Amino acid sequence: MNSKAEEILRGMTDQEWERIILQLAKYATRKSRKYFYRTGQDLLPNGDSVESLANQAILKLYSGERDWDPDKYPDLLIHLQGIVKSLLSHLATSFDNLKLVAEPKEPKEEDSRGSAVRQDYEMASWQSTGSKTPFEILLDGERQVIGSRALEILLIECKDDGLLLGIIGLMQDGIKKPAALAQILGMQTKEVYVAIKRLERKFIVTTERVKEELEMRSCA
Amino acid sequence: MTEAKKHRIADMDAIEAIAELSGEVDWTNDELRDAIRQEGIDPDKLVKNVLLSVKALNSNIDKFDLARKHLEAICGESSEPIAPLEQRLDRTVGNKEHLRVEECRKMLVALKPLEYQTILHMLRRLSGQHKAKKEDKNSLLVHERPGRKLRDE
Repeated sequence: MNSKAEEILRGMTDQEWERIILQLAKYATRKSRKYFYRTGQDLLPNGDSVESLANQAILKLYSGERDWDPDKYPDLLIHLQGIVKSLLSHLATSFDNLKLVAEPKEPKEEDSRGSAVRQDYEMASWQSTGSKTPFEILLDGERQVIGSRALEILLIECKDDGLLLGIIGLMQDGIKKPAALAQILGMQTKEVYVAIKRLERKFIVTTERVKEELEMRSCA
Repeated sequence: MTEAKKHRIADMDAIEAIAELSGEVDWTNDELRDAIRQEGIDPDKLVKNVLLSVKALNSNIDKFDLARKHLEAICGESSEPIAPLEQRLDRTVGNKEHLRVEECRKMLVALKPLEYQTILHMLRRLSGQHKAKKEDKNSLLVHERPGRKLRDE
């Protein structure tokens, strides 16, 4: 680690660290939730995982494994978020790797087991091409079903909050930035920020319900 | 179907966009705590535990700094960066009977704050303190003392 980074880290107060730790935890849960909707995998199934992620990120910073250059990137939080993002990505890759199966070797023509082996090989080769396999197409379809169900639950959660329903509607129309939402709604951006925080809380509840439903379905 | 509805994005895309939306907002510490608590995480425990790690790492930086300064002083050129020092150790320190060059090299390559104890051990050997009294040996684990002792020499 360079000396300027060391100096800054050593000079940081507990309050400054507290803020960074809380923001880092929020970032990790937000990214993990997004990953859940993308893949159906829960990367952070419990609170301990968030603590471990934050610790790992900070350890990588101090050990110099993920060196921080304050001159180039003055915002330490963004640097740490980058580390958390790659840790999550690593976790996601580990999940993906569990699904991978090695491509079989091409059987020799004179293989005594005959055409069945050749047929298995050709099927496996077809599955490993760039085009989507039937399983992937099924997953895509499943993903859309989960998305629709999540939206349905979210709309029910927000049914008494006209502003949140308005924001969700606009987001369905592809408007994703708070400033743009505020402009269309004829409000100040700050007011939209307050609403987004309310929406986030409803969204956390929604995600938990979706996870529960998926779990119940897989148990059935 | 209205014109607006024709342009609607897929439900899952809308959900992913909503998942990202809160990242655009500045949260106060209390709001962050509430949101984290809602995720099933105890924010006080989280902050306390991670802060403990930070303090331990800061303490290691102090020890590491001390060790590095002495290592550089012992090797003669205090401003020399670690990598050339490593190469030079390969050439020169090997003559000293009690030092194993390869061992030194490995230690230097692995210089990280968390390995300060190894570095301190090496410093002791470099500065000819390998015959230090038993109580001095134990004191090497306390970060202020070994540095002061070495500097006095």
